[in-house]
Amino acid sequence: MERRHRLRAVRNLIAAALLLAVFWWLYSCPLPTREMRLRRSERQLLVGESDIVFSYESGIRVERGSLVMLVSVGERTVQTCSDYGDTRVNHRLEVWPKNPAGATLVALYGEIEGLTAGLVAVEPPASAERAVLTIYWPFDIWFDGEEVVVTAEGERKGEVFLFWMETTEDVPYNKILRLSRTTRVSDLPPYTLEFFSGDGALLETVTNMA
Amino acid sequence: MAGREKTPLSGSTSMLVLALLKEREMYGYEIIEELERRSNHVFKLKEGTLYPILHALEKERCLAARDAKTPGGRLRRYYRITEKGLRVLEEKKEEWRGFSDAVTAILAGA
Amino acid sequence: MNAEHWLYLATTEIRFPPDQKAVRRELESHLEDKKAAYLAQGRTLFEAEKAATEDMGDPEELAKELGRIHRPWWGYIWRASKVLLILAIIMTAVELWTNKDDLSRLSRPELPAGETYRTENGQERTVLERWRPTGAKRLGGYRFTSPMAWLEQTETWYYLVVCLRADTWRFWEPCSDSPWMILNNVVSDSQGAEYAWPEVRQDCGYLSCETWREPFTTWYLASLNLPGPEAVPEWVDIPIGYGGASVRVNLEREVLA
Repeated sequence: MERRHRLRAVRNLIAAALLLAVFWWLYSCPLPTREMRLRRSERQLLVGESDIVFSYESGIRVERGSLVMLVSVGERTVQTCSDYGDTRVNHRLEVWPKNPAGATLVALYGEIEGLTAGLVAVEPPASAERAVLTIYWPFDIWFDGEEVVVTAEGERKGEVFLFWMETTEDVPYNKILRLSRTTRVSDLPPYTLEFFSGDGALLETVTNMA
Repeated sequence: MAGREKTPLSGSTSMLVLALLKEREMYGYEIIEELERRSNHVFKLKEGTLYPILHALEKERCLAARDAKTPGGRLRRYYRITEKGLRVLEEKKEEWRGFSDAVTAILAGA
Repeated sequence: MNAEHWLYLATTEIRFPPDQKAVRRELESHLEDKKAAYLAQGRTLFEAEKAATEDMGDPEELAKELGRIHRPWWGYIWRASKVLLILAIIMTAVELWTNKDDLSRLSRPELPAGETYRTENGQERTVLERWRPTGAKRLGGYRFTSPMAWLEQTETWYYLVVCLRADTWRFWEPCSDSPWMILNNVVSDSQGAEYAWPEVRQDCGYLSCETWREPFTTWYLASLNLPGPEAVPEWVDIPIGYGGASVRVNLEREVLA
């Protein structure tokens, strides 16, 4: 009798496992941790090996989850990942080409508290202790406002520098919103990025202006 | 039988049950009756002894059981011997022969 | 002692209820046989039952032995497995029901079989030449093969269409079905010509891409706009994904590298 129970139990458990695998597939195969989701997206895009260099959890809750941004660096690419709430739909990975001649500036994708957009400078010069980002917002006829130059001081977060671009009187929300939805290098506004050493010497300048 | 004494006797009861079932499948009551009949009323096996043995042998895969309904509506559980049961029976017969030879040898000298 | 009580005492140590019932039935049947024998001898119903239960022996002792043999654990596991299976069936059925539309998005492209075929928007295309490259290339855990490549003509345009499929058994991470996997790069061929998506580069041939997804396979259909049928190259180099890897489809020798 015990043997019969054992046989039936094993058969049921195998059937249940198969069905749960199907269910998991139908549910778009959710993975438990952010890092696993990031790695999977990288594999699906054939990105190759990379290291996670930055992680930020936004305080505001978006659609049942708090927004987390991750940045990982590969051999030739930099990935930005934003992940929140129902990760079946709210997970995206953007791949940026790496700047061969210095640091790479990438935009974080998504809403950050206080109508702010985030940018991250990856692979700064080793001895850099201070970074300054200057954005030359162009004149845009689509309700974006006038030309304006904004400077932001970078915060060192591990191996990268983090910059916040806030909405102000001069820089209306539209500009910031577009910045926080930028996915291609060519869509970044003109900028200059300067790195300084501890004693104020200019180490490196990165720019996308001709 | 009180407790689990490892006497040759407890092992030999299951040997007798296996030997009976080697011929054909039987149910509990039938096994007790057959045993008594063939041993000329020497072995009067108690139910309290038989059923633990039957269930233990089934668990060990020496026996296989099936449920059948009698015409009278009663449920009977028939036990039949398996391949493994036949092997175990032979082993136990060997053991018994060894034991009985030893006893005979001692008694012959007395 | 009456039969009910004896049976209860004898089976009380068998903790899994179905097992307990089965053993009880077996012992009950045995008791009945004994009772019948005594009744045949001429005793009364009451006497027969009393004698039968006495014959059966000490029920508590028997209960201990039976309890040692019939352990409940696999019985409990079996019960739990039944519940789990029912849950799994319900969950999967509900998800299947609510996700019917998602499933319809999974399909494979129709590769042209004959001389002409119609595209989705009804345009008629003529297939001038067809190749079936062999071989496979492993990129990042996916197996890339090219089932077919063909040269097609529509009115005045000539297209070289290369079909690629990326297979994996890891159904939870199929190769990305974003057309950017191909469109983000520049395709080159043996004659030195280049093809790109206009947003990416404008000073070369036109490239477009369609994708389809199945549980274990992702399909890519890359279309290169050729100036004429004589411009068919020997091979085409298609970079895939963002890792700098590419797949070379050899039309001359029908090989994939």
